[in-house]
Amino acid sequence: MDPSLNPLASYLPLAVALLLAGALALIIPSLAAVLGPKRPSAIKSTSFEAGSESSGPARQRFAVKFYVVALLFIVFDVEAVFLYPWAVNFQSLGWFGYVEMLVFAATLVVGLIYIWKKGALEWES
Amino acid sequence: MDALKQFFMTAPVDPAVFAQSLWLIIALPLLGAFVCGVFGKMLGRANVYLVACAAVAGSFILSVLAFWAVSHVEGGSPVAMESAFSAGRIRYAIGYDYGTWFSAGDFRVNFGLMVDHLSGTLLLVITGVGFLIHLYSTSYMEHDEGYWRYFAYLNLFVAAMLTLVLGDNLVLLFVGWEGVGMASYLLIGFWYTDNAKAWAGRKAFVTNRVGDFAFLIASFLLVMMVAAFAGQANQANFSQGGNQGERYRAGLVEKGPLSFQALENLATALPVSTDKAPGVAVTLESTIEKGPLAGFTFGGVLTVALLLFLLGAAGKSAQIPLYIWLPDAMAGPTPVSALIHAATMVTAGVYLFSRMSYLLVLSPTAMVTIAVIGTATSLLAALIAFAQDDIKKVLAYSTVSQLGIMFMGVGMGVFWAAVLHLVTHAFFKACLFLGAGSVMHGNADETDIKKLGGLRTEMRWTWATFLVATLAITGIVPLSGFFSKDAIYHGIHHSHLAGYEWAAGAVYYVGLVIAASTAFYMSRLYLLTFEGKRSPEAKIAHAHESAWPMTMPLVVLAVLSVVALVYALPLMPGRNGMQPVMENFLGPVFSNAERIAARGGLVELDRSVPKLGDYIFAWLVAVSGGVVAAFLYLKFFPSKAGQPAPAWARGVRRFAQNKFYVDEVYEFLIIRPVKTVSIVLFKLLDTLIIDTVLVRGTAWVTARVGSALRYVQTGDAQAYAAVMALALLGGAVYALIQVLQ
Amino acid sequence: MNLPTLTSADFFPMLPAIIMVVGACILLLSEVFLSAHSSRGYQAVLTAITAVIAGVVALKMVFEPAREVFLGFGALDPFSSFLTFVVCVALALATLTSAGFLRKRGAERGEFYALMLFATAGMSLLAISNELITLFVNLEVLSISTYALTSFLRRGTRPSEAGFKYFILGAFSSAVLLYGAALLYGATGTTHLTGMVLPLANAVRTNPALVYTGALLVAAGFAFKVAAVPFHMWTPDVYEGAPTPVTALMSAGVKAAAFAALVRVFVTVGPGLDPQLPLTLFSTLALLTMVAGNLLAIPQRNVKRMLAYSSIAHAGYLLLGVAALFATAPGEAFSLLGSTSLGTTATPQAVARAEALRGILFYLLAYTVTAVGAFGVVSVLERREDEERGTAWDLERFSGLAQRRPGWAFAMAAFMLSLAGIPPTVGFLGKLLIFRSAVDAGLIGLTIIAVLSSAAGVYYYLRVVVYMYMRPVPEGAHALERNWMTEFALVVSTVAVVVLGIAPGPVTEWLVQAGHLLGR
Repeated sequence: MDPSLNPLASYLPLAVALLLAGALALIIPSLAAVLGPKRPSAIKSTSFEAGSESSGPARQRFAVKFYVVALLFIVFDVEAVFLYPWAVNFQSLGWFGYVEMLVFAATLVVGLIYIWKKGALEWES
Repeated sequence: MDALKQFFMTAPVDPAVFAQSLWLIIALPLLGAFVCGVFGKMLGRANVYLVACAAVAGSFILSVLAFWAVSHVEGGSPVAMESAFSAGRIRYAIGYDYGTWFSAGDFRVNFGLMVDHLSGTLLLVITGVGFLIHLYSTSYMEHDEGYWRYFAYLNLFVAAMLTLVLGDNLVLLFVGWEGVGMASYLLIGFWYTDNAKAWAGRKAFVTNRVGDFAFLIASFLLVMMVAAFAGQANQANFSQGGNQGERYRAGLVEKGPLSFQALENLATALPVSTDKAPGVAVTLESTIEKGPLAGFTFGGVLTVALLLFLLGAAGKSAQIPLYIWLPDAMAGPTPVSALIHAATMVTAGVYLFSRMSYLLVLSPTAMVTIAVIGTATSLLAALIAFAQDDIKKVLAYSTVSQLGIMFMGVGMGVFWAAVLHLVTHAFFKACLFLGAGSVMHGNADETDIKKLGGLRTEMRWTWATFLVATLAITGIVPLSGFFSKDAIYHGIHHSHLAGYEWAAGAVYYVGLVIAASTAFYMSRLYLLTFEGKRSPEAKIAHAHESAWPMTMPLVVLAVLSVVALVYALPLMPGRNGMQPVMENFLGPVFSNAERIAARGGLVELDRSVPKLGDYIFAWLVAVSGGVVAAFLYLKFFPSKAGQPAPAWARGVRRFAQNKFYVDEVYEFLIIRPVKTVSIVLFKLLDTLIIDTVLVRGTAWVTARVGSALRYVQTGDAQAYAAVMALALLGGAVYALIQVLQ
Repeated sequence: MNLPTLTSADFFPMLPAIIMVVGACILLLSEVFLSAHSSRGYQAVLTAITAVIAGVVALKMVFEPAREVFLGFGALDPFSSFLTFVVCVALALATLTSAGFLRKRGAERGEFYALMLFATAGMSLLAISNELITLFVNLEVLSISTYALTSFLRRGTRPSEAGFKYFILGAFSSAVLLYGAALLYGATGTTHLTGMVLPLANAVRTNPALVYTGALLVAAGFAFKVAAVPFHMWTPDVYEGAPTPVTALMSAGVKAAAFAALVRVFVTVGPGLDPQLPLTLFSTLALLTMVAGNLLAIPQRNVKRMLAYSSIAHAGYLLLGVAALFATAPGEAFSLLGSTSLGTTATPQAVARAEALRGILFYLLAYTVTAVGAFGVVSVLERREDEERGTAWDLERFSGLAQRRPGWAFAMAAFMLSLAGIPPTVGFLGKLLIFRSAVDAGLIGLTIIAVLSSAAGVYYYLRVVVYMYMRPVPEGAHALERNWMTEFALVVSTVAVVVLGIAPGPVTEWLVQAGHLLGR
């Protein structure tokens, strides 16, 4: 098909790659299930926890502060992601780019002040 | 003299600037109504009096300024208003457009106010007489607990009436029209605890609604007619008035089809037939091509619209067949009768037709109908007034009769004289009503003239002013009523309506009978009330004169009833020699109507001035009526006291006393059948079909369906998502089917 | 490197949003320096002032000539500016009602107002978005703020349930919208709405399934936001669970913004599509939404829930106006007044479309002042203690209100009449404009159904009035606290409802201008 007629056509290789990846992900585990020998016993069915006795269910609740830190990490990580290409093109972007980035950083500073004063950065509280 | 002329021709405020403040004239009384109505009880009596009177007084001062501004002449050219519809300017007028009030598609109504000589005159009457009556009321209502309500309503009425007069389009006029109707309803039923009075208010309201409905239909017809005209007219139409078609259509977009300018320019651009104006696309005889009116002629639609307006005006101005509410309206406080039911509101019909004089002269049929209705009403009311014994009822019928005379004038094209009579009538009839109120106030609310009498010595001020006003309405030289009435009669006698040549003579001669009758019943009223000896049946032995706030307005109005005669004197230079002041003054307003009439030839308007002989003849008619009354009530009846009247006389009297049983005939012919039919319809349609089957049935089904649907709302988020997904799937399937096809 | 140049003119249309974001930042920062017991009365006032300033700026912009800004990512046109004004009105009124509401619950916090401002900024930006990705981002800005606002009062199960449902279903609908946008991009190779028209016309011929599915999914995403049946299921639960002032902002502002985006997307790309598609789509949605919204509202005794369903029904009337935008054969503009398009040179289509746009905008304004006011009355009557039991919003609460607080009762009566579309209120005029444009567009049957269903709606609106004016005050009714800010908002709404209903003149001046959408 002429790609100019249907722009989706150019994505065909991607679709093939996706299909292959999906197929592999399905096939390999099922191969193991089909080919591997199965001799279950009681001791084999217990959950494995670094050799020691398992204590309680594996699904535990994490304290919310982990999530907060994770979220904060993402926010500032993304800032870095944006900063990097900007820094590379700093010369050509000129003053406009500089001011733009200042505004961007200032917005994040507002956020930082907010979480700081709210106590989100303090582990023990 | 020249200095004086210069003084009156130079407005103290720049007219263009003042035009922007016109809204204040309405806003002041409206504010007064608000303050009195909402805070009245808190403010106390004195403050309410102050607020109400000050509001109207302020409005009066502004009206004087407005009146002054429209007479402003600078460097030989009079003040003029830009017209949205034509290149020409409207001379002797100021106005301001406060922008769109509402619009729906191409239909638009602006909140535009305008003052010209006609509305300026009415402004002065409304606010001037209105102020006097407010002042009078402060004394009249001094013992009434509902004073704040009363003044709120009265101010509201003034605001509505001013809107009616100031509006530069029919819709705004209609707002005022409805507003005065509502204020009138509220005031007639002011003592609502009295059932009869409350009913009188209701009767007035319902009767008026019939007329208002006709008014609305007529307006709709005009809207459609204007639209059809704008679509069909060609340049030749507009060049008739030195106008451009584009400008006219632009004006319609800007100001809407119901503005008076739109109608006036339509009348100018609408010739009678093609022989009079070759090349035009639209004449009165051409048919409407598109829209709901397709197939009818312009002239036909115009006549029907005007006849519907006549029905509307008959409701407001108490003409046959809708006059029956006015006598009952006397249930309201007497100052209300003076202001609303004598001086201002009831003249709204006359104002409406004077405002649309240019349309009127295009339809002789409508004009002759107006004249005949006016004549018949006037005669009938005069005859009924013969036998009424209630002082206010006599005055009420007299008002109906006088309004009939104004309608005669309007119908025969003597617009200026009708307006003049409107003004003079406002003065002397207000004076009469206020005098009657003063009489009642001083005689323990006695209204039966048989039980009064001999008040001449006991109430000097009331007596003197009442006498002056009586002479004025009777038509005795040299009072204003004589001149205004005679101006109408003279005009009627010399006018011609195409196709109705009999009208001028017939209306004129019946008019003479009416004049004589007026003189008779008014003299009777005066004589029985003030002359002779005090009736032995009087409620109190001695009457007392009223306080100054009551007598002062009486004196002012009596003086005005005399002074207003200046308007009718031929003092101003006109085209055919000297012409009456009022005719000259209202000339700019009616000049278009005259031009259209002269061009179309359907109506011939008379511009001549009465001769001395005409005056003497009219005077003799009036005097004869008065003399007969004087003879009967001063000599004949007192001498026959104690003797029973002959049977035929009693019969006639009873017949007249019962108002010729018109109310009963209406009851039998209209109200009963309508009631019967409506009861049957109510039982059958309303109760059974609509209420039970349709309303409750649908409600039942709807409620059931609603309740059933409620079970879909489970509160389960997955279910919600599933519904959305299913809907998407359905849409996708539908789209795919469409695509595959 | 060839850099695009941006000038201050490009940022100009964002001015209202910038004002609101700055206001939000100030509130956020000021909040953290306050102790738990500091007075926070100024926060609502500050927010309202910010909203008013932004609204005035937006109103000024209505008279700016329409143009594309930000390299075509945004569109400054009178339509978007007027819409920004509408959402600012919603924000100002909702904020004023929230002050008393939050104080009663001890939950007055700067974050609340900051979130309200962020949400409104998102709405404003959504109205000017002219590109699919920008549009999506702004939609998310407003959505995420409202998710958070919905569960702002964390205590109790209802708010968290509502917030959770809204978040899950909202994410679902966002995904649907994004998927649709991706398909449209796939079909045309661009995400710019204006640039999409020509490629779309090609794609309709070569690959109709892709285009139709894409358009359908985008429409479904918007349908969720405007709460159109069958994408409305979340509405009653979320509206009921959210703090009442937030519900007010959602029902008025979010809906207005979503309608703006919907109209912009489909009107702009419309010429590239088969005109029958949007017409069928929106007619169907309008039909379902009007009928179901009204039917479902009837059995409700819970006034807040009733208003939620009523909001669905009103979305239906608005969709009727949207459908009128796509009328293929506007009839010979027959109006009762029999006038012919005097003095206009535009084509009948353009005239009909401008009429419909004006109708939609006026309706949004009308609904905003009315609905926010109505939720305001609901918010002053409810008590925290009754919320879990669900009796906080029962009709009984309104019994005899006319005797206890005649002012509130009068305001509520005005709002109910306006929602029902009874003159002389603004709601009547709004309905009139929408229905008229629908009739002009030839959608006679649909308009008849709209009129009938709105007649059915009168029942549940007037029931509130009946309770207020004709029922005795229940025994043991709790005291009604007054709050000047809420009452001020009620007064403003009531005045707007009545005055705009009688004299819409000044607004129509703006509307005539705002009927102009970029490129149309």
